[in-house]
Amino acid sequence: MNISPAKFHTLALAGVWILGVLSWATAFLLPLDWPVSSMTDRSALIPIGPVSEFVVPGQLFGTPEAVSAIDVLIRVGGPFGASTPVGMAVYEDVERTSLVARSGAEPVSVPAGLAVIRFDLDVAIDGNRRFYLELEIPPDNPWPIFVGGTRDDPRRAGDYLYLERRPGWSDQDLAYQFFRRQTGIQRFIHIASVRPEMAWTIVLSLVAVLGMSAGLSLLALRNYGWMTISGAAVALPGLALLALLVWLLL
Amino acid sequence: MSPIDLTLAFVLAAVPWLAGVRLVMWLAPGESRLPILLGAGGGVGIGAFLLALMTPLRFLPVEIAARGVFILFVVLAIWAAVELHRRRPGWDISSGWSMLVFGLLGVVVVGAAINFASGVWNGATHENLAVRMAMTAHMAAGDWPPADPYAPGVERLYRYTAQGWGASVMRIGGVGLFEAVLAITITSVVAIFGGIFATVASLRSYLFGLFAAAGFVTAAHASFLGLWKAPIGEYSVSRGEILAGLDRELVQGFTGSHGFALLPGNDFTNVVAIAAGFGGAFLTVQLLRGSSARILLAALAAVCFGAMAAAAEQTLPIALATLALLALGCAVRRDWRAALTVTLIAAAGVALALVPQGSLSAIAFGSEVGSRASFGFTPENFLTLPTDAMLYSARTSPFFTVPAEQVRVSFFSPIVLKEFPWVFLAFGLGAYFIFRARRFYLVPFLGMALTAFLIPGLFTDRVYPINIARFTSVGVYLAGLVAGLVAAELWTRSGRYRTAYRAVGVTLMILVMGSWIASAPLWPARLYDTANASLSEDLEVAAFLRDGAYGRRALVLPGPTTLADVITDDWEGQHKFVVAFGATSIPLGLDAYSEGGWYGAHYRRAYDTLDPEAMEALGIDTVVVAPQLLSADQAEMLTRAELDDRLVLDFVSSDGARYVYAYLSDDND
Repeated sequence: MNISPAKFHTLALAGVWILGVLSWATAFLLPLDWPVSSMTDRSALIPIGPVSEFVVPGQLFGTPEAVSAIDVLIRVGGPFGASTPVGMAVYEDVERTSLVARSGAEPVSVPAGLAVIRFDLDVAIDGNRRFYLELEIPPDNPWPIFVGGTRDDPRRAGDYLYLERRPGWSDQDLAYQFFRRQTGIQRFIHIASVRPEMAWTIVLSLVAVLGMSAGLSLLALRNYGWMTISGAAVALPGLALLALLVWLLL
Repeated sequence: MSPIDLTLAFVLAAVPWLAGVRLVMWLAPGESRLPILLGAGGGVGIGAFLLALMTPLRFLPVEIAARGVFILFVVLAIWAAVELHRRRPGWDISSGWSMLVFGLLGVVVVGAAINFASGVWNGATHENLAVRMAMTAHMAAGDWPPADPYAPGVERLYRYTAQGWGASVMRIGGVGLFEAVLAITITSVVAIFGGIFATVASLRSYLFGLFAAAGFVTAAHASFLGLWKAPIGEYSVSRGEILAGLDRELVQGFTGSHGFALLPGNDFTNVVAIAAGFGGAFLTVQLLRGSSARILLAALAAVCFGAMAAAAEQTLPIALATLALLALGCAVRRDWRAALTVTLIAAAGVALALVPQGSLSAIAFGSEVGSRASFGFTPENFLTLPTDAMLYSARTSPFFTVPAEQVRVSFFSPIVLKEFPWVFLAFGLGAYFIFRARRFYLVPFLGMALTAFLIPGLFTDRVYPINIARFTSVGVYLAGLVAGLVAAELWTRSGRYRTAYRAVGVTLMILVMGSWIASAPLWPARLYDTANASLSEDLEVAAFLRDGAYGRRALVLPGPTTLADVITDDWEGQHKFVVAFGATSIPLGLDAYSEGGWYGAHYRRAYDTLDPEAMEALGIDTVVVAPQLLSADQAEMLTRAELDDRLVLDFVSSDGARYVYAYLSDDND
């Protein structure tokens, strides 16, 4: 099939602009799970348990901002591949007067022992508040279950581990990590409000990268029209940003 | 941080630059290319300004010296603007290349600003703020010569020159410490890029200049090759979170030295020194290319090298070795006049480096301050590199580690070959181009990088063994420059194997820049977490302390009592804000570069018991307290002192996280 140069130009022009607009739109509008707290260092982890329907592991915790998913570390005993359903319930307080959110997951026994288990909450919980969470082990679970804990973590100040619904060791906490599901643009607006200097560096970095991309496009596509060159200048960093966000956060 | 202060600081920091453009136009009258004039102006102006500032400080009051030098350089800057308008030098770089270069420079500048800011506000690094910026703040508030912020009755064996520039910006503009040091650091980073570009472009072409500058500012250990070892998914599923925590280690390698990207956050004085050094390099190149103003060029080149050495003494041996190689090359070509001129530049550079107050002059003139330095000649370490260096030893690196007890490794050990494959490739190809393609311009660049790598195997710093690794750091950046030149040579080669040459060049640059590229997207995350839980209150305390007369001496409770404590963010890092932003001394006697033993012993007694004798001997008149961090014993000690009327509450921060007490000794009861 022969394509005339004019038609090729038009196709190239349409292609780069579609790629550019799509990549930037996806990067800005794709909901991603942004980590809003850090997981405990590997070296600071301790196994807590075995836990069960009676030895219920719970944790009083504070949220740095709204949270839509919580990762905890769970080890399922038994042969590799064995699994058991585990629930998570988040309450207003340790008295469990009001249920705020719920989630469930099915951790699997793996050679590494403790594995990261994601609990996507059915309702996002508020930021800058204290809650109490419990892991619910089913009564018919046949395997010993351990949860990952940490000791004397200054970032967990004010937090408290509970076992059997009673305060556990005062220097121990469950190891957990919070996530917040937001689009890129929502995340940027949040960062701009709490860390404006960080937002500025992001904007300036993007402007600089767009400049580099414009320069490269101008050098590589100098025989094409301005529309093609500017389309490529927009598309290149858009695709790179999208790939980066997906790789880092999805 | 006010935008007006920040703008003012950058305008003041740009004055030496524009003045440097005037000097370059004067000394290289045949140069009509704007990219060269602007590129070289930064380094030349910074070098000239630093020495012009530090020389009168020997005999004039600091206020007069700073104002006089600024007036002189403002006149030169205005003159430069007028001349640029009149001569209209051409910008002969295409739009595409211009955008590419400015885009790259923009990313470099944002990275430098982030790394600098994260060291100040987010506890990413500590020595810059706790030592060098603290000195700058004390210079801006006190008399000359400045006292050691950690041993206020004593002059510190240390370099003062870059801090002097920051302090002069603070004095002239009335701007804050952060704004002033950020402005001179960023100005110097851009001047380094411009200086390398102009120097190399004068020798070869713009393309070579761009490759060399890009190689220098992005050079880092090839630790990105170990990314596959990052524990992603093991304890957190978020690659972003894991990598953000590791981004420092990405750029940093096992030697503990680091890529240039981290230098602004670790040691801004080095950045300033390197900028001045490339000003000298540009002028030397102009001289050897046969400019008519030989004497003036040589004199100003020596000024730049002198300023460079005074701002960071470890750069001097590297510059001297390079100038010696140049002189030797001129002698081999029987250009005796050029050889003699280069030798005179080296000699005059050394002499001028002794003019500013600081470590070099103290050591050379045999003062008591200078006697605190102790170096050793240790050829038994030849062809080895130190493994432990600076604040963040790479033993924390999850990628490449060496046994904790191994303080040195051979150049050719597997760990070096893994971390620096590109250095060997660049040096090997550089030698090939010199001997086979007669690219003799590469000799001084290769020589300076090699010197920097070899010195740690020949000499030791007995006071601070860790300091010798600073040469390795500079060696990494200089090897990046060499790699850039080699890559440009490969890129521009013609013939049958052109594609293969280009592929090797691209591979080399990927190895040089890989860690920098991999870590760049994560830099903004470094500004997210703060180690200082009561930052705004720390700044309130700093403003309160700064508002009083300069000369306060504070005990910080709880706080550091040793150097190792000072360079941490323990106790919410409150001591860093007292000593730097508050321009208040904490007389704990940092190290052997001051009267560390005497101050340390007395401060420990004061810290543990508020011992009146120790408090009086140290001259402590202020006690800064973080009440929520006090132990029960410390709280009781303070309550007792308050009841005894030895402590009087002077200031409480807005949320009560910081108290400032006046300490009343028996003398001023």
